[in-house]
Amino acid sequence: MNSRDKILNRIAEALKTKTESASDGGELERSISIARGSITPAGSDGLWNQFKAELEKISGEFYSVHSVDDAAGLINSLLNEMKINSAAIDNTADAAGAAQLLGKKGIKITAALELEAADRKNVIAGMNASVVSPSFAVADIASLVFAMDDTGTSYPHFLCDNTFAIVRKGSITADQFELFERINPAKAKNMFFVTGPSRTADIEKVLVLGAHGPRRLIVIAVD
Amino acid sequence: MVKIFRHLGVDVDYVENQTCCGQPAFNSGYRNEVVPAAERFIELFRDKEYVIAPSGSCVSFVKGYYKELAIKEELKPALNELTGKIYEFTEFLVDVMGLASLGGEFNGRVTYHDSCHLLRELGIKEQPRTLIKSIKGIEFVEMKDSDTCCGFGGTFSYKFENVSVAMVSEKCFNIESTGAQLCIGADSSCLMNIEGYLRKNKMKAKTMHIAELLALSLKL
Amino acid sequence: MNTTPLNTKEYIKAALADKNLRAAVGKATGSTADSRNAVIGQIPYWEDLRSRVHLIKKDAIENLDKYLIQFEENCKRNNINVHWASDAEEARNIILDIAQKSNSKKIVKSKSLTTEEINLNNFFADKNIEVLETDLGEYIVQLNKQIPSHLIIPAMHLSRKDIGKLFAEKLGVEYTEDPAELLSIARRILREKFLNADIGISGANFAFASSGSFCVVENEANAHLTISLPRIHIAVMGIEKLIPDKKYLPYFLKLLPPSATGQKSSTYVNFVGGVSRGRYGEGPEEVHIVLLDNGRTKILKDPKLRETLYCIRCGACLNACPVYKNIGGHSYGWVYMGPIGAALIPQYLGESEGKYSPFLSSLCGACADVCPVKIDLPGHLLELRNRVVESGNTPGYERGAFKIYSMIISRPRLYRFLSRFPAVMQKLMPAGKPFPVPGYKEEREFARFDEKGFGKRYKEFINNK
Repeated sequence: MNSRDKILNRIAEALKTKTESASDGGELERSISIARGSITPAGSDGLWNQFKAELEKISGEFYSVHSVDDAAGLINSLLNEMKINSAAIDNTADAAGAAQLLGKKGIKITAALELEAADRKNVIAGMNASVVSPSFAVADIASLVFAMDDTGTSYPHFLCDNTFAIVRKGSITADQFELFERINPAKAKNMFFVTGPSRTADIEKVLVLGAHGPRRLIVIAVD
Repeated sequence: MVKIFRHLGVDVDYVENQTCCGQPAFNSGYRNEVVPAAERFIELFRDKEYVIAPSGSCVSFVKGYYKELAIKEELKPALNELTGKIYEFTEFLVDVMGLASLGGEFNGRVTYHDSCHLLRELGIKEQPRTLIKSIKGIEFVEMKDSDTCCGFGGTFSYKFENVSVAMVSEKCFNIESTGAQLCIGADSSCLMNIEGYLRKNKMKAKTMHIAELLALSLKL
Repeated sequence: MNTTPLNTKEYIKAALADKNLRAAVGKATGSTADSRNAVIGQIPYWEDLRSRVHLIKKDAIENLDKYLIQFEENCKRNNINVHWASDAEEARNIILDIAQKSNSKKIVKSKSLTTEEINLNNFFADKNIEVLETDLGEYIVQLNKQIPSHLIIPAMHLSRKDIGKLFAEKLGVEYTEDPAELLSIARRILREKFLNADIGISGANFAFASSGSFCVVENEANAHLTISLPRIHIAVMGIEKLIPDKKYLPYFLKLLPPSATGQKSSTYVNFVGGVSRGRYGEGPEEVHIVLLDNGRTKILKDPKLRETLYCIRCGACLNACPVYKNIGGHSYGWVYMGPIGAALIPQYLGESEGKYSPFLSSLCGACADVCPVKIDLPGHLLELRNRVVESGNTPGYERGAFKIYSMIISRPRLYRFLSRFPAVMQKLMPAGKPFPVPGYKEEREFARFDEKGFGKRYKEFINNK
């Protein structure tokens, strides 16, 4: 017998002694749902205010603008401030849209997916900034949701020190419960959630930003 | 406790043939060794209206763990009744008798230690505080981490003496920091452990059971 | 298997004597517990969440065989290779085999307690394959040739000075004790390793039966790089980590970060749903998951104790435990420590080797209060104490003593007679000296005994009225 069957047999044998099944008849889910509702801010503006407040608590930066062009202008001035003149982008339409304008302003844009797969990680790792775009934002924890199907890559999100995330105002969800109701299961297979810049507190609990990923996460919400 | 109950007009009967509830053996892993004592306990208190103990730990053991023992089938209904009528002292005064004050007086600064089983298994947190604070002239100060274990833990204090001592030393430091002259508790075993460290290390505070404090405040 | 008991008592003695260690552990557990309390104060449905997740885990564990089969089928559909390992040795060999067949020489690892459990790093030491930890805390303890002392904060036992010296000695860098500089040294070294690794090994926080995928929760981004940069990814997962469906994840993600680090949310949650992520040429091209038993099916046998398999390894019980705070994680002698470790050790390693750990608790119950999945830890420790006794792993004198105790407490007259004994003995002691009781000698004394005893006082009181 192989280990698979041995393990499954051992489980079946062990589970012959059942404990009484405990169901709450959905009561807990209902009361959690009501409690969630009671602390969810009203309207999209309320949710974005909450997102901003939560993001700033975890050392993320937040801007709100009217268009992708405005976002590109903002990114351009921030890059100039940081003395960075190049940026990597993921495969999303909004990152590409911003890239067009940034290119015109003299920022050298590298589209991650246009690089040969073999070189991609090394090239992106050598860059200092990236422009990406998530599919959803989660208000109560200031989290961004990326699906690999949309971004096509996760290198710009993780290998560059400074990440600009352009997020549509309509993509806000109250919390992860709502997110999981809205998410397309097919796209959810290879996704990643990003909540603030990378961090560690492994030495004497002292918080340090920029562990193995970005040091700065700048979220720009677009109408 | 007897003095207070008599002061309050409660008819007290001390069952002379009682012994120990058996918790020390149970907590050390010796379950069979507890069964005869548990069965006696159930029999002894069978006809009583209420069973009150000035020890949260004993009450929570009888209430919560007797049912895990291999008790004779015919005693199970009596055990059920017992778990419904056994109370810790302050719980009985406040929750059953509905008292918020006994009207005594005591001049001095005191703090209170939350005994683990009392707090976590019986959920008794406010009752003793209510009674203490109601004493005229008393100054009540919360200590830091009042709900952290004093390190007694029955045979734990002997098996891992050094860990237990480290824990009680922290507790005593927190007691001293309040400047209280008395650390009040509702469980003698914790108080015994705390008192032992305070005395050995010549610290200022003393321990006192809440029943003693109440009796003192009423000049009983 | 080694049947000598874990060297618990020696470790404890050393830990208690080490003031720096106690200060470090006390401070770190305290601040994590404070952040936890602050965050859960903002979640009004915290208690309902705990109850809900307890039920989800109960369903998952009580139907584990069904869910595992479903998981395996769905993994296959996603081109994830599923391996089954009965024990640690089999798991190690599966991983070695993948490495050798792909001619891999460099492995990067993200934090995984399960790989600590199977002692993977030591196993690869003489196989000419480099295995490098990438979580900062894990990297530090690996450099220091230790195992983690905390489930979440592996290097909790080391101060910044210790780590500064370690880096200077092992990495040849200039001494610094600035956490940011220390991190930056590790980041520079590890970035290079990430980019050149052949295999990435991670654990899995949660796996989903209905979708054949799993996720890894982290803060540093090292897990994401471990998963996405190397060509091959291997996840090692205890079979108990499986949950029926991804839709339950929000409940877990609300509970885990506050319990683990006091954060509202961890920085990253990485989902691995197969090689389809390699559609645009990004790794991994090959995904393996090793499902580990290693004693879990043994734990499953007991209807009560199987609850210990609900554990999501958040470490909240460690931070709440006054015993852990004083002795640190290494005192428990194995890869799981604190209250949950005390319960897991005898179940995984046997009552003989693990005979001390269930007793390494004052049963204060602070652990059960904070456990996000509501494991009755004190209850299980009591049950395991009984097992240690039943399996004959307590000393003869102790068994004798409790036999006698049992006899005495069933005989009231004898009990009353003997109750007077300590008070009489105390009288014989030199003035002011307490009666000696084991455990109450050096730093504290035992209570003074009342000469009369309660029974006598009661009678006097009643008769005087």
